[in-house]
Amino acid sequence: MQTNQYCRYPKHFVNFLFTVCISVTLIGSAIAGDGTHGLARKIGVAKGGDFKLDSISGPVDLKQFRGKVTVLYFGYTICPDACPTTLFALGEAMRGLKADEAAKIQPLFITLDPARDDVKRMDEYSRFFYPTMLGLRGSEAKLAAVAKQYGVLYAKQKVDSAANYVVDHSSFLYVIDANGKLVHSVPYGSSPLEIEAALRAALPHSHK
Amino acid sequence: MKRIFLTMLLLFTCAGTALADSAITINDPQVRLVPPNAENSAIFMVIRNQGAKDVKLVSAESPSAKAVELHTVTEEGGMKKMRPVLNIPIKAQGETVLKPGDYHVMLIGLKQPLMEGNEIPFTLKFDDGSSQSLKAPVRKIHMPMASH
Repeated sequence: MQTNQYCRYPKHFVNFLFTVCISVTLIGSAIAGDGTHGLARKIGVAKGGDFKLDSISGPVDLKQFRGKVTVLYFGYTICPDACPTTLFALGEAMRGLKADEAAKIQPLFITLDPARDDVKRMDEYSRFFYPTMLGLRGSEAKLAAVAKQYGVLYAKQKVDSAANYVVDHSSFLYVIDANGKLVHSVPYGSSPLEIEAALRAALPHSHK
Repeated sequence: MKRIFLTMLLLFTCAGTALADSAITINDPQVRLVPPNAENSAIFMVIRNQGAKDVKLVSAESPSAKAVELHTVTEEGGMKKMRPVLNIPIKAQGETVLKPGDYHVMLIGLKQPLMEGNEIPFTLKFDDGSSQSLKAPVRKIHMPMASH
């Protein structure tokens, strides 16, 4: 859904596609169960996959979360809008889950602005939204590779502002199941309840 | 006599300010709560223009941030793009909503961490020469307001 190819199509067509995708995703969330996974697979263009990045307490490998559901968000701490909106919603969704469900979900926030975000800053920023959320960072090249795996689009953009530059970026939450498989992309603007449903749907069957 | 003069002056000043600003009203201003180490935040609100002429919000100031700018967010090529804007228009007899994913007053370089419930003072200046000084409470904002 979020590849550059769409730039070739007229804007209203892209908007239409976007609306259809969101609707299908929302309907999928409502149905829940395996139906959600099937729809997500059809919608998603990205394969996801493992990666190694750095946290304040050392390297983090996605593989270490096998058995847990992982939810990823890509952004940056200077981001004034999409990031805090989405991370607040994710925090609310985590708090809406039962304690035993939330304990089986690992939220990760990955910076797209490694020049300004160090691991300490990422750690403080992430924990504010949810205590177990890990803030991750890597080299520009590593981050570009991970972003590509997940179909994240981003571009550093110089602006005439005291902020100096901003990072344009796509804004989805990526839900990865206990086997490390990307099962769901939750679009920007989803409510905490919609995110909660997507997270719960990715939990192993005993939790549904 | 001097006291009466000062009281009169004060009354006229207040009345003058109220008259100059009467066409524009600001509703529900709020500052987005951000992590204590975040450098930036944003103020959202509804600006209503009851006058017969279009007006533009041309600048904003706040002692709580090193710089205050007018920004908007657009969605292009699948990406959220935040950009500074020269002004924010409010149509005659209309309103403009400053909300997540849209127009906002951007606070850049917060001088101290925001705390939920604190009030942030700020001033808005319009192209009709009027200005308004207000306070906005700091709140958790996790939904793009009024966009769904």
